[in-house]
This record gives sequence, structure tokens and C-alpha cells, in this order.
Amino acid sequence: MAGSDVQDDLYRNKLWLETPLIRSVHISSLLQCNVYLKLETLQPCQSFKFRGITHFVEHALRIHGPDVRLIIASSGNAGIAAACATNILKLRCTVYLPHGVNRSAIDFMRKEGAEVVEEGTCYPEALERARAALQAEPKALLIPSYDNPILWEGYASMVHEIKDQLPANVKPDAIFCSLGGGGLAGGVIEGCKAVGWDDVPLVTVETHGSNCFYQSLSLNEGPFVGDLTSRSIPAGTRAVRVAEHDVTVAHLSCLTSRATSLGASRPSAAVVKKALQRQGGVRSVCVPDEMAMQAALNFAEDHKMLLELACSSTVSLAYKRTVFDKLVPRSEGKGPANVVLIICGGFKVSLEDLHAYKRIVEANIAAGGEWDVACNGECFAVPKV
Amino acid sequence: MATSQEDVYREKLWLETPLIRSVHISSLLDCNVYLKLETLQPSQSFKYRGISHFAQHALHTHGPDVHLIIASGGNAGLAAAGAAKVLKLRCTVYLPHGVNQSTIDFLRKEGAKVVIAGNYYLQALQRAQEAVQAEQKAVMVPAYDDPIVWEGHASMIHEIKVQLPEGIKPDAIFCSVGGGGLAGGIMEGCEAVGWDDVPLVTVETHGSNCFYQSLSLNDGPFVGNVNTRQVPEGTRAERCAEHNVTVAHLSSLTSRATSLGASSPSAAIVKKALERKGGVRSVCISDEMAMQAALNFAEDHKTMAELACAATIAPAYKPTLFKRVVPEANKSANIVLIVCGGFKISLDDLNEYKRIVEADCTAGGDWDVAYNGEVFEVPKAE
Repeated sequence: MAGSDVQDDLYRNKLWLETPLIRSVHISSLLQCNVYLKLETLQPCQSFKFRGITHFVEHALRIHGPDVRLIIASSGNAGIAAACATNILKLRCTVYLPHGVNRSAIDFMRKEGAEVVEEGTCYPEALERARAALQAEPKALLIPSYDNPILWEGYASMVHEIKDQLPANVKPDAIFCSLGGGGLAGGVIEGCKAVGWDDVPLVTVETHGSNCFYQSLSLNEGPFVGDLTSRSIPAGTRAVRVAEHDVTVAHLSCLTSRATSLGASRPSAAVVKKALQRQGGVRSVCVPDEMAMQAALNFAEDHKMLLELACSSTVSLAYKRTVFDKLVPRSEGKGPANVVLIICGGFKVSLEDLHAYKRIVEANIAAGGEWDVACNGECFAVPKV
Repeated sequence: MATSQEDVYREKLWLETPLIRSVHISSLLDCNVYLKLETLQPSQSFKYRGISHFAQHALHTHGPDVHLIIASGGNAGLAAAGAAKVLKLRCTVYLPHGVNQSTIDFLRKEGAKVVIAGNYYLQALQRAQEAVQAEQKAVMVPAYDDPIVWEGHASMIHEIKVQLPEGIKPDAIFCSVGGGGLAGGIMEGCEAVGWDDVPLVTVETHGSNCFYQSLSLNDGPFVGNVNTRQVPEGTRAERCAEHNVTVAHLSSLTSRATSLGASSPSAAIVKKALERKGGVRSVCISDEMAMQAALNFAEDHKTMAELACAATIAPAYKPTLFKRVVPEANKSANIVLIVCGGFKISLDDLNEYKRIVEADCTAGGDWDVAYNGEVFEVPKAE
């Protein structure tokens, strides 16, 4: 079929692993439908970023030759992905990080042979240093964080795999993925289009304290409830019109979520546009950090895997039946729904983190009340337990 | 060879699991260390291979009315329940009291009937055997001592051969041993793919080491003379005429790695280990060393491995131990660790292990490791 030809050509030299798609007995039982997990945790750099970044680096090698030096600014997973990719392809790599990034993440990058430069107190400062380094060396190339079609093309490969891995002729009733700047979502949207799944609903997940995509959707005509002109812009957010993509994006002045791997102050305008235009639409969800923490704890007990918050936020929707049923309504007469959760992975979680999450969630529950979940402009309460 | 694999495994239910090169452990040992991730099987351990293979065999032999019965402390029961669900067969799992509620819940999610019988595994086994006697259509699913189960487990070797870079033969394969089912499958798989000469490192804990003790009772790789080797207190040596080998029967198991818990190993597997060209390097470690490995593995690979599984990884986290057991490994060596999986691990467990290991390290001294009859010390912090 045309789809697989494209996949064969485009991904012929792929470095990434075709990861398992496993049916979760635990979550399927909880939700009474078939819930599949795409385990990007198993990539060589332990997150989905490996797909897009190796694809980009290979492209760089073809265009610029083996002398090219790859530069990236990252707070973790992208840097690890870049280090792994360049190690395999025997290219020089420098990762610019702000101070405060976990020692083990830095060790990982160094084990892969990357040069690591810790400068500045926040990601934008590290990015500035990276850009300065770029200017200083003719053979240097900056690896983009998320806003690049080559990255999306790499990420799209996972949808081709999912199509082959699901039982024959099964089309997902929804695909769930986390969203920082929108690179992963961009790849999922493009991958869906390529395999004839443009009408498959996409559920994107952010946290309340890091929700630039959700806010951007709100600034445009689209799936959000109510009239565009009556929607308010939160304090600290600036609306910016991007003429090239004919879309408005939100620029957030600060991010407060502990799910730091989501940390983008603005999303890719192109991906916002794609989300607004696709047939299957987008259900943009925001959850509280505590709900993502609870999900990380549940997933660890069920699947014996540690997920960082940016990843467990996707899973959190599957651990709350009331939310899930709103996002994936049951059809009468049809069999159980088939849902795919992209387990995007990430290195930024430790046993100590999970221990802290347990205390935080317990205290939060003891305080009573419910958690607020936002979806396409509506807000509703979810029981904490 | 490929043809026979295709025939035998044509209807396989298990997942072809990834073989990933561990950057962290490879960097530590300065060679290539690959992890076979059996944690990803539907029942979350390698047991799914052998037991689903057995279940399919039972279906073919006895028809769709067959009732699969198993006595288990956990992982074997989960494998049986999972396979039975896929094959739409009845399954009853007999467990002793004290099995974790989450395991019982998992069994029920898979549609198995759960019977809690007795205080010890042997009592649950007895009840299971009675149930099999009482029902004509019932079949006992063996825990580890059955060639069909080994045949299922052997499939992982066929996969590893294809997954390693072309032409690469492992310099050693490491696996945990309880009753020997996994080791049996590995040895048979190695024989089938032309790897009979690949060294096999088997790992147990001091408090659950029936295989190590059995090897000691025979002429073989253990140092010294078999006649001068002592049988530990609480162990009974038994001659198995059918396989012409002596096996150890342990009267008590004291390890926390309860999934290893077999009081005697498969005699056939002991024999295979003694006869194979690549030999066997039988290692016993302390529970605390396995705990430390579980903690390290969780931080490096974000995967929680129960103690029986972490035991295999432990030698890889101790370069001095690794060099003793695989002295021939150089920078280009390729080592495969079977990460056998298992459901019996929780965040609370790991938290407890952290406290235990810290206290043990503070107490000073070294950890004892037994290896083919010799005992040596390994630093606790390395």
C-alpha cells in the first residue's frame, strides 16, 4: 500500500526502535475498553524524542557532511536524544543546559560522548548560548526543539508502526499524547494523515501550569466552546498573530508546572494550525500536576515503569473513568473502544521523585475537594480518589 | 533450523520483546551489555512464553473444554491466567495465603478463578493436584519442570540471535534460576541456534539456591572434589536415576526473592547444565546485593525489577564480580542479561530496599558471593 512504501523510503535508515504497542490489562479493565500503550520509554535515549532528533541529525549529516557539529539547548530529554543520535552517527555534539539539570541526565549525555555546557539559570538563557555558539562556528547546526517538519516526520513514524501493530483493520477511537511545544502532536497528526487516520480524534494533554497549546487553541476559531471574542486571555499571556500560518498563538510569560519537560512558553504555530484543521479534531486537555503525579504512582504499580510527569499526564486521563468517558464517548452497539496512549517516556524521574509525589498527592487528597480538568474551554471537576 | 522455529512457534502468543543495549551498564562494564526485556510480556514476566506454549498444547491435545489448573505464588499464575484468557479456556489458580492483593486482582482481571489454599506453596500445590484428580478435563500447568515449557522459553534465544548485530555470538548469557525452567529454555534455545558453547551464568540468592547446591553435589564445574564437598544443613541430596544426576532438596528458603522459591530444581536441567559445552557459572548473591541492583536499575532504566529479576542484573552492577565471572570479557564483548520480569515489586518495596541497603552499607564489610564452589567478597559500594 502507498503508506508503507512511503514509510519504507522515508525511514529506510532509521535509527530508532520499533517500540512495542502493548495492551494494558490493568487500564483496559478499569475503563472496559482496549487501551494500548506505545512504549517510547524503550528508545535508546529513553524517550520518543529519539525519532525526530535522529531523523534530523541524519538529514544534517547528508546535507552537511561528517564535519557538522550539532548544537542543542535542552533541559533534558532532547539533549539526551541528541547525544545518543550523534554518538551513533559519529558526529560532534554540544548540549547547552541551564544550571540545575539533574546530574544523572548530564551523565547520560556524557556517556554518549556529548560535550555538555551548563550555563544560565533557565532554558531561554541556555538557548541564547547555543545560538551564540552557532554564530561562532560555520559547521555548526542547531537542532530545533519541536518546531520543525523534519522532527515531525520522525515522530510520525510511530503512527505507521501503531497501524501495523494494532489488530488488523482496527482504527483507534482516539490517540492521546502529551504536549509541550507540539512536536510530538505534530508528528502524530502528520502520521495519522499519512495512514488514512486524519479523522481519528486526538487528545492532547498538558498541565495547568504549562498549557501554551491549550491557550493557543483558545485564541482561535475552533473546537473550544463559546464565542472566540468572549474568551478571556489569562494574565501573563500575550496573544501573537502568526501570519505565515494564519493562526494566533499564546506566549506565556511563566510556567509553573512541575512537569518541566512540557516546558514551552509558546507552541509551534504550524502545529496549532494543523490541529485546528484536521478532520478528527483535537480535544485539548489540561490536568493538575497532582493528578499527573497520582497517575505516575498508579502506572508504576501496574506496569512497573517509572514515568516522568510530562508523560504520566497523558496516562492520568485513563486513570479517571469520568474524564475518559467524556473524552471517548461510548457508542451504543459498537464493541469496546480502542484507544492508544503514547507513553512518550523521559529520563527525568527517580524513585525519590515518586516518593515525593506520594506525599504530595496524599496531602492534596486529605485537603479534600476535587481536581479541575479543562477540556476545550470547559472545566469540570474530577474526584481525587 | 529457522524452519523448525517457524513450525514450533507459529501460533505463539508471546511478544517478541526488545533486546536493548544498556548505555548505563555498558558504560560501567566497558563492554556491550544487552537487556532482553521480558517485563513486557502480557503477564509481565518471561513465564508467559513457556506457559502460553503449554496452554496451547493443552488446547490442541484436550480441546476447548480443558481446564487449566496451576499452583503458584504469582508470576506463573499470571501467565496461565493471561494465556487462558486469550485462548478462551477455564483457568483456576491456587495460591497460598499471603499473596499480594494486586497479584490477586491481576489474576481476576484476566478472568481466572482464584483459590487461596493453605499457608505454604506446597499446600496450595496439593489442593491443585487434588482438583486435577477430581476433574477429567483438568490439566496441571507445570511450574518449571516440563519440556514444553522449556520449548516456549527457548524462543527468546531465537529472538536474541536475530536481534543482536549480525554474526554476533554472546560472550555470556545471564539468567536467574528458581527451579530451572528459564535456564532450561535458554540452554535448549542455545543448542538449537548453535550457541551450545556460549557460557551461561545462572544467578540465585544465598537463601534460595537449590540449583547451586545441586551442581555442588555432582562432578562438574565446581572447584575441588565432589566427595569432599559438604552438604549444607537442611539440605537432602537425592539421586535421580532417570537423569543420572544428584539434586539438592532444601528444607527451607530464607530469601526475600520469593519468585526464585524452589526447594529443588529440575533434575533434567541440572543434567543439561553439567553436560553443555559452554558450561555453567553458578553464582549466589545476597538479597541486599539484589536490592541494590533493583534500585540502580530503577534509576537507570526507569523499570522496577523484582528481586528474583534484579539478581541477574546485580553482577553487572559490580565490575569486580563481573570480571571474576566473565574474565574473558574485553571491550568488544557482548553480554546478554535476561531481564525476566515479574509482578512482585512495588514502590514501597523499593523504598524498603533502600533503607535495608543503606543500613547494610553503614554496617560495613563486604558482600559474599559464591561462584562454582568458591566464595569471595565484593565491596558493598562500587
